Amino acid sequence: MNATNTTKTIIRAETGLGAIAVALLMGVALVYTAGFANSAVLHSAAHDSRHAISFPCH
Amino acid sequence: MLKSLTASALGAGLAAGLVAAALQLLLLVPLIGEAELYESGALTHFSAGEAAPHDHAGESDGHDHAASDGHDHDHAGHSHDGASGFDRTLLTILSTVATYTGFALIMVAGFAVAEGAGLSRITPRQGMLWGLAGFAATQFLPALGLAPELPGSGAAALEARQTWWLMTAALTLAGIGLMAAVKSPLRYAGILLIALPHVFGAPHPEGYAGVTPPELAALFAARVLVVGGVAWLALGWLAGLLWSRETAS
Repeated sequence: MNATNTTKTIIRAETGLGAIAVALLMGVALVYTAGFANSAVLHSAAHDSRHAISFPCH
Repeated sequence: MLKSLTASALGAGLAAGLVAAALQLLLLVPLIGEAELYESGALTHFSAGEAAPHDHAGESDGHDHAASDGHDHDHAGHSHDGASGFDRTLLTILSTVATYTGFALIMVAGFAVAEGAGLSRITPRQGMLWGLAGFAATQFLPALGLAPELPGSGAAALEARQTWWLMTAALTLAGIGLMAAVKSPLRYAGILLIALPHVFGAPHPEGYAGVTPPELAALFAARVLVVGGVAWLALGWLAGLLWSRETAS
């Protein structure tokens, strides 16, 4: 009983941590792409919003 | 879990991103357009003897004139950004929504960690505090070293500024997190973490050679912080609201 509960808790914790890590990585990737990536196309597309959100630009 | 995280982040990011984009288009983008006229040399600041007195003679007239010039100029094919008019507006909205959705994903990941560790139960009001923390980390404290900049401002190398910005954002979040989560006196180490990038110092140019008028740059910097503060509060409130609903059942 205890063992089952422990296993369940571990599994829940693991899926929880996995989901948190996925959300965190997606968030960082989005902010990086929109705000920091040095590609000329992305820079042009996001130019005004980079300035407006006060990311370093140019 | 992942569904709760993404659903609340996407909803909050979209709504707060649209609020931010609307404020940007109303208050900030016109100043960017005007600054680009100085950057491209279509307008000059103090370099021609007549320009300055003329501008000072009728400030509101000069301002309107410059703004409408900016519009014409964009249509005439000012190629700084490769986009103009409607396309450029749409791209600004899209990239702002993408950025705030990214901020929201990071924030709800923080919500899940805080609740999982039993530190707090997220409410919309709690969310607003998280929003203030996000504002502090991404705009308020970075502004101490690097002022929000208009096109045509002089600045140090881009990579150096980006690195300093990322370091400042990460250390500010770590510092705020330490002060919020730890009960022992160790929490005051958070202040040191927040101060560290400013002791280290932001990269600055050798001299000031920007072509953008300082009055314009100052107005822009002030408005960026106000718009950012409002958008971050909206983001935190919405993320807290949607997250508490998602996890209530």
